Amino acid sequence: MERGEWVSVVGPSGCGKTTLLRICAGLLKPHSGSVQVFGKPPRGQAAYMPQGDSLLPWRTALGNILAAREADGRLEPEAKKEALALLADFGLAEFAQSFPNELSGGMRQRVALLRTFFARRDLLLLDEPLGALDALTRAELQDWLLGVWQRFQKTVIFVTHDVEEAVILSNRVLVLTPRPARLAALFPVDLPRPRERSDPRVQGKREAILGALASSRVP
Amino acid sequence: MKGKTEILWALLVVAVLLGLWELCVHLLQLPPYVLPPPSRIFLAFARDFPLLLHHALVTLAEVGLGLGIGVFLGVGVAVLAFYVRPVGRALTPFLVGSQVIPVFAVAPLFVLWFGFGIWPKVAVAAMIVFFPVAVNFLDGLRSFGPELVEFFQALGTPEHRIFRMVRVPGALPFFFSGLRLGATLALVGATVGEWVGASRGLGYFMIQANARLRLDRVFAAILVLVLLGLGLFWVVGLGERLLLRRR
Repeated sequence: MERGEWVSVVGPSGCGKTTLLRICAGLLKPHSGSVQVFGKPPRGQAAYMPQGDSLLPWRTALGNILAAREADGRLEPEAKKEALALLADFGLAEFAQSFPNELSGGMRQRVALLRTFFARRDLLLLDEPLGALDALTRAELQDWLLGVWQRFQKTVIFVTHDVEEAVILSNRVLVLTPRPARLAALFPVDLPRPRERSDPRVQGKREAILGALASSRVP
Repeated sequence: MKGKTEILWALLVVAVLLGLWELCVHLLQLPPYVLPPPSRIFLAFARDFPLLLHHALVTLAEVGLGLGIGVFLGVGVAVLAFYVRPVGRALTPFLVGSQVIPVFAVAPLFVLWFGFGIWPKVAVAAMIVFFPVAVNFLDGLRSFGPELVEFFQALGTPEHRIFRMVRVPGALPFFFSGLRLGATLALVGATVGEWVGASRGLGYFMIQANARLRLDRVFAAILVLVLLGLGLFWVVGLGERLLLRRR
């Protein structure tokens, strides 16, 4: 992967997309072979956002975001200011002191995403962060997430089951086969961002990827 | 404001019940060695207050020490059982089954083993506190899914920091429900321990008064126990509010 690149991973459910991320995060050991992140063993190298609600319920949005730095030891004095500015820049200023149970699902995912970006890591592993949201919130969050990513210029590996989402966000889309997962195809997406869903080139890519997914299913 | 009206209602109910009690005693002409009227109990309470205070402090010290030791051991065992799998597997049935251990029946044994001083009562109180704290804290440590922890594990956060940042705060509500249960029972435990054999403490005071048919004193001691229990409940609640504030 190249630095600053956004790679999405799509594949039939149960094929091991999450497992792949967890191996990259150093949470699982591969049965064979090895994974290196920036030339090192993976644990501690990447910021991993697990699927589902992973915010600490007893911390405010701000507290949760700061946790990403506290995780590395002492909190720098300017971190709080930085985190508040980040919340403000991405439309969450008024929720800084809210607890997760006071936030909507979309807002919680925004906070969890900002927390992942706020960690001092250059590689982010996002496991279906928009998976549990309704279609409208989801489209809104895709644009929002793109904005955050463009600000930080971090490398992202993004697991999703929504092919259109992958096309809209990624530099490259990786298609996995059903279990045992192999790389079925790799689609570069070199369209300028932001990409419109209705753009025929986006739809074309989508069709191509869906085709690859369908054909990978036939043994 | 809702809290205040509730307290007023509770006080009103207590006042009515005490009034009925007083009335019954006088109407039925019950002798005070069978059932003293509340007025007599309050009189005994006021007259014997210094003595009651002296014994209450002994009981309170036993409960306090028992709480400290019980919490320390309970938390320690829960952490051990959480991190060392074989230990957890071996202890879980005992912890779960501990509800059926008749701790009060063990009190005489403790007196036999630890003598007449405060230590057998401390041991009973500690044992009473230990089980709910250990069971609940362990439940608390196991209560949340891996998502909460995995974010930090992937960042390479050392386990001791994950313990402090995630596991302990996550388990605290469970810990407090165990402690609340344990704290009030520990008071009963210490008193029972004093019944069995003691030379000081509210339990001792009650036994002495009972033997002399001074039921007004027995009830006064019960009143003190109720107040102590409420105080303990309040202290635990205060700790809970301080540690879990704004949740």
